Amino acid sequence: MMRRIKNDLSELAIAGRAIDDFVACQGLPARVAHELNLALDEVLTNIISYGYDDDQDERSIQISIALADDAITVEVEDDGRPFNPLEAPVEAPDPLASIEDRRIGGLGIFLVRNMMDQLEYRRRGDKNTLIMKKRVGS
Amino acid sequence: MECIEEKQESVMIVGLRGRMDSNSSKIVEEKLLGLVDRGENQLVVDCAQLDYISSAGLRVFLVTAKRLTRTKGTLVVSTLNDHIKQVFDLTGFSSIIHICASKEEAVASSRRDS
Repeated sequence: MMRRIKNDLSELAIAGRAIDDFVACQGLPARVAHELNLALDEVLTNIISYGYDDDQDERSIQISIALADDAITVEVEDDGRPFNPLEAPVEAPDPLASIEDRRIGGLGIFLVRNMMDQLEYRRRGDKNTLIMKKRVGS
Repeated sequence: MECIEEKQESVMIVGLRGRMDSNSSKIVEEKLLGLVDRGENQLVVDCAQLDYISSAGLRVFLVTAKRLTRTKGTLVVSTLNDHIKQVFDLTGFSSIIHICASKEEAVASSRRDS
């Protein structure tokens, strides 16, 4: 399955529906859709937020989803500047008084690493490609 | 994403309906911080109709909780579904955000802590 979305956060829901549809078609549990959705959301958010120098340009991000050998592979390809969404800049410290000394920077990437089993980033020509795999076998 | 307000005596309950991702969580942040700035000190955020949360959503809860410490207020989050509870547990947010299983429990807890 393949979808193209615009580099705008309002398009995240489209990616979410694509995952939900794919997982349902394959007869896999809702938990799998939720976990894939979370990882994809965090990756797309980072790409859209940090991967383009000129955010007035409308660009397109391609998402492919496939199931093979008991694993779902989600590939995200964009033509923004060379950028690995797994190494997104950590957010600036919260200027408000903290209730804990807890850092919230890097939370998105932490979730991606926990939801997926294998992650690979490649820069090919003028494209960034992120390949994420999740085992779903019995 | 919809935010539905309900006041029960001194407790302000905000019901979230929909998804809380990096796009929609801005609306919730504005709503919650707006309420705190308006003087609401006992906040319950009921998630019975919240389908999904990403790290952007978690940040909103954290920012709200921090804002409430200034006014010695309280934030209680209620009725998390299994998926959302998993995210809270995984990120350790379960130990820094007060969670109740139901809205009623959350309201009672807010009153007790005031």
